[in-house]
Amino acid sequence: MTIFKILLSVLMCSCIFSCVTEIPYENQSEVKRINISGQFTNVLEKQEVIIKTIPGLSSDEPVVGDPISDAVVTVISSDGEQIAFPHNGNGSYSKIISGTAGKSYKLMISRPNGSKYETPFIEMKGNATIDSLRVVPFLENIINTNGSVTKNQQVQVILNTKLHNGTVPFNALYRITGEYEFQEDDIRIAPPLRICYIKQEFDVGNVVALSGALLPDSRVTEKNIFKVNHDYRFLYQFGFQIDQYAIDQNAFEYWNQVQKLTNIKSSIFDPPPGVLKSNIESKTDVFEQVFGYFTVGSKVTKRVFTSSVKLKLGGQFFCNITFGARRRPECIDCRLFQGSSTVRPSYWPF
Amino acid sequence: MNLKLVTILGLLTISCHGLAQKQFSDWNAFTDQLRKEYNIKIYFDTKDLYNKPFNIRLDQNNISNSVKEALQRIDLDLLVYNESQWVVVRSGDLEKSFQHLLNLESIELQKLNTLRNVSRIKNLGDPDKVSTEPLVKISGQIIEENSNLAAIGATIETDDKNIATATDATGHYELMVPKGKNQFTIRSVGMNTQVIDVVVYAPAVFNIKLLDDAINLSEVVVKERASDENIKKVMGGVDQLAIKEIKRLPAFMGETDVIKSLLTLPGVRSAGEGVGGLNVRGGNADQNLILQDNILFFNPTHALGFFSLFQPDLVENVRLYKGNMPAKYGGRLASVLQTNSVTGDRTSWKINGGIGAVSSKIAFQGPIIKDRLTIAAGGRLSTINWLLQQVQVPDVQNSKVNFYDVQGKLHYWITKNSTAGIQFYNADDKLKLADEVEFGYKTLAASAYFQTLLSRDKNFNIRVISGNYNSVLDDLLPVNASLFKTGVDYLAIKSDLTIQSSEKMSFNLGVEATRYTVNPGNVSPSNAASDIKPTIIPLDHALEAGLFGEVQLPITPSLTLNAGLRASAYSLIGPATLRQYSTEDHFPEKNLTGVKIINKNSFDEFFIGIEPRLSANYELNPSSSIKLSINRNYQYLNQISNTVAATPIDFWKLSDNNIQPQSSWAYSVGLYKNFQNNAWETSFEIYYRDIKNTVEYKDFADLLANEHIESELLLGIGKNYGAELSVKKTIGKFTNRLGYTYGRSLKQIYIDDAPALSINQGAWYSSNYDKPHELNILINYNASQRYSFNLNYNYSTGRPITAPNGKYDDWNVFGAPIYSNRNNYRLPDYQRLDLSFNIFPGYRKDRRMKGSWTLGVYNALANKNAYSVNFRGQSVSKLRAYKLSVLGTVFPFITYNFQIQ
Repeated sequence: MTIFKILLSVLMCSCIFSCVTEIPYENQSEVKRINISGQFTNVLEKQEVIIKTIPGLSSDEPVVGDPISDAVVTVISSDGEQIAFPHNGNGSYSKIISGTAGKSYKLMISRPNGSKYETPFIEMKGNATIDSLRVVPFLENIINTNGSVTKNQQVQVILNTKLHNGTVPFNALYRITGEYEFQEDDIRIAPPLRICYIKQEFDVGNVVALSGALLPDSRVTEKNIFKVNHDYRFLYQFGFQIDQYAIDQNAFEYWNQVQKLTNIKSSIFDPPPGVLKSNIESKTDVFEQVFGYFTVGSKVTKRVFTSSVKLKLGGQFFCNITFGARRRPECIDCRLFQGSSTVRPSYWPF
Repeated sequence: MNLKLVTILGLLTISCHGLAQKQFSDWNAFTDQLRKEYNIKIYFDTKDLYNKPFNIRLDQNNISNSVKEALQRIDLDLLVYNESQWVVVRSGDLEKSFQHLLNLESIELQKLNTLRNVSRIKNLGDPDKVSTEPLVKISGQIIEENSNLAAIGATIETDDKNIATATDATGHYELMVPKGKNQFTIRSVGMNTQVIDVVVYAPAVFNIKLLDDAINLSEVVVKERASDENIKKVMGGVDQLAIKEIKRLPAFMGETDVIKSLLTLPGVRSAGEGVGGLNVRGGNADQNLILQDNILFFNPTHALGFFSLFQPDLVENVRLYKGNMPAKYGGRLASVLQTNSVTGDRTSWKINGGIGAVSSKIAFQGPIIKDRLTIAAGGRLSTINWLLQQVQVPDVQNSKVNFYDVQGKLHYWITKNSTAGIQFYNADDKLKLADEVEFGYKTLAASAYFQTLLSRDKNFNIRVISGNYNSVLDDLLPVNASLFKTGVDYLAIKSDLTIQSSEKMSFNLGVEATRYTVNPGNVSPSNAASDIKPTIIPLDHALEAGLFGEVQLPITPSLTLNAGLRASAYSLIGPATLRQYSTEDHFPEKNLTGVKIINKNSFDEFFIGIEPRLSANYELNPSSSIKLSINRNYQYLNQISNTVAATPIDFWKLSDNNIQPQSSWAYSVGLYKNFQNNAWETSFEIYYRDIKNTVEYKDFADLLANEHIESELLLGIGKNYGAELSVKKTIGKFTNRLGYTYGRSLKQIYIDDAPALSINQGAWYSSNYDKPHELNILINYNASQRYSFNLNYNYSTGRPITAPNGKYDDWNVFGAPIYSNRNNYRLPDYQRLDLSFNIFPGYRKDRRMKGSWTLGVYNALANKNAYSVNFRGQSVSKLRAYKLSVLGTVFPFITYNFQIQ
């Protein structure tokens, strides 16, 4: 229930009269600023901090921040352990390491030009297992600019879980990744055909932050946390992986604001957008604004698998689609898919 | 085109000697001499005589021939209508020319056939007891002869127009006039104008009877106010719109809109196309006190703001105080919009109705008991759903927009001097978007009043009002299924006494008290599967009282003061739990020092506001004046909304220990100047308003059903200033109004002990309603009484918005927008041209049914004005800005209105 609904209503009612036209636009920042973001979890995996510049905006130029590669990045634990994050190119500083739930961590960055950036100590909150996930079909209406409606078949991931450790509610941030099974399909190739498992990083911009304290009984009930178009990827087997990060209150507020910010439609009914308050601040220039967040949280993961058959939807075939006389190359070598592997994951169902 | 009426009355002994063989080359001098020497009126069109050489040698033995010959030399002629009334016409077709003149705006000329009292000389007072005072009091009652009812609001003025007054609710008047010869002109809407020559000797009672007009009069002349009221009125910054003028304005979908018509006035704006709420001189929408007969309206809109509540056929007049407010009004900082509903006709029934694309309406009025009890009532019902059905989008077809309003007024004449009545008002909106969301809002109010004339100069009024405004948002999606409810209930009593000591001196004293019960917003899940956690926020209660007094005092013949004082008092009423913080302008949890419990029906958190109101009018000459106003206001009720546009989920919040009352000092000074015998009215006014405790919202403020709402708010200061230029032509075939405003509306939110919370680093910044330049042009061409053509043009600077000026990445979010300082970018400028053509009923008044048509186009130039700007650009792609134009095309409209009587 949001103001967005009101906006939508108004626009739906008035869209018969409305039109959208592009106007020139150029806007530059008034202040010095930098983009620093990263995460640190309790799972042994790549922990990463990325540092970039922030360009201004105009209608004519793409927005690409320049990577900053000359920084010294260190994460310090509350018991004094210092973890250096070496630069791995393109402004990315990373290390494969894990933190410990209950401990606190802070990020420190220094640059040769004397700039220093720092967070306060952030506690790595305890997490709880995810109770259940479901995948259901969903038919979306898309209103085209000419007023006609296109039906778009999608699938939704539905979450039911508790957001408390016994009695203490916690805040959770979700990341959703996917993986699907793809079987090569070409009459020129003799069996056995290869089977690939292709990872999907598809939750770009999909921020889901929930607070146990704000939910009835600290429970998430039938929450749609992600939706994706139904297509050939669901023909055999599709797995969604949900990562639930337990985060502190400041991080929840930040991600909640990011969630609002990405939902802003720039309409008259929007609340005034604002500047996101990072937990990273410049120690050498009080006027320099830092954008981005150092998110510290313990992580639990759950997967759910589905397919077109399970969803009772018609299967779509990737290799039936031709481009002129040529078949798609992935149909005879599925390793060409980005993120593809022929190694069957241990968690993959039979 | 101007028609100059020269009235020549033979108050003096007719003597031809002064004119014998006299030669004139100046028309005005000639007619002036005729006026003094002969009892002859000459009517003429100034355009006919403009720049034409006039020369006459007057033959006293045949004056009319002399004039005729002189006029024929310049292609004009003379029509001798009767002995004392001559008309200058164009050569050739005398009859046609005469008819042409009749179509002009001269009410007196139109009534050549019906003037019955011209040249009738009355002696007032005993000639043997001539008063020793230079000014003599003449009083009496003006009565409509046919109905024998008091002529309320009839004007009576002397021939030099420096002395004038209007009748009160009982038709009585008083006038101080010089001894000797005077000429009284008495006017009343729908009645014959009478010109009566009097010789005043001593104080006297002079009762006058007015006759019904035989034909419809031109509205341009039969004004609802004196022609020089803008000069003589003490207060500046007061705009009055006649309901007939409002009905002529082009309007969206042809819906005559009482509130949106105010947007044609300088200094009055709205946030956007189809957005409810007015921003007067840069003020917030909640800073306007919107009243109909003292009934308070919290959301005066239908359909989310596309249309306004008041049904035009039941509105008597509309007045907007945007500068100084009379002391009897309080509780808002920016303006008072006062509308009065019609009172039922005492002698005959009338039915008004209309059929339009959006709604249909009907209003009726008449006597239930003749001359005793009348009713005026009506309603309006939306018919817009057929339009939605034309849109080939299932979600739109499955959406509904329904609204209605009904209102009524029973008015009872208890005695000749006392009246009483009851009123009610009900408006309801229900809107549904597909199966996703439904919302509705409702205004319900009733009032009872009593007014009596204690003596000829003392009028007493008392009124009790009860009303409420409720809004519901029903989220229909299962996961979010919930109801959000908010509203305001109030019970008010208001009483005042007006003493009209003389024409220029009056007193107004009174008291009022309002008890508010505010529901700041409750949320409850509406099914078991809902994710929504119920939030019940206790109701807030408060009492706002005001004691006021105002005196209008002539200091010198040129200088008139209007001095008022309003003492407002405000208190919260328990039960209430107040959170106490160690800070005054922001309220984070860490600064919470405790809570204070107010027991049920206990009063706590008192505020006293002393609100001086002062206006001064210095008349430089009969056609120009300088006005000065100083105004202090307090506002104890705030609308909480972090959107630019008003929405049904905006809610009201009473001031408390944290959200201190807003207050302002407002200053204005204006120069008013009329030209060509008040045909042109011009004014130039500058204003400045200084605001304390203006409410602003933190970035990403979470306002709905928030028990700690103050933690999302920031308090600061504001200032609105600007200059308004207005040029009006009120008489003639072409009437027009041009208004230009340069106005700024700025805020400063600087949080001393938490600078990071300051908006825009604590610097002054534009409020949401800061539109520096604004131009309004309204032109009416009244081709005749039957046909008129209207043009309305609006231009304004685009409103401020907060726009992205960068992007950054964070984890799985790429290209998250970085927003600039608040409101540092603007929408493109706004402009719109509307045209309408009106066909009015014929001249005859004896037709029982009269119909009128209004045809027009709204946004004739199809300007795609920006309603909002959407910024698009995924990830690292370049950012593109798109403006959304809600009404970005031409909207033809046609409406039919009828009246049965």
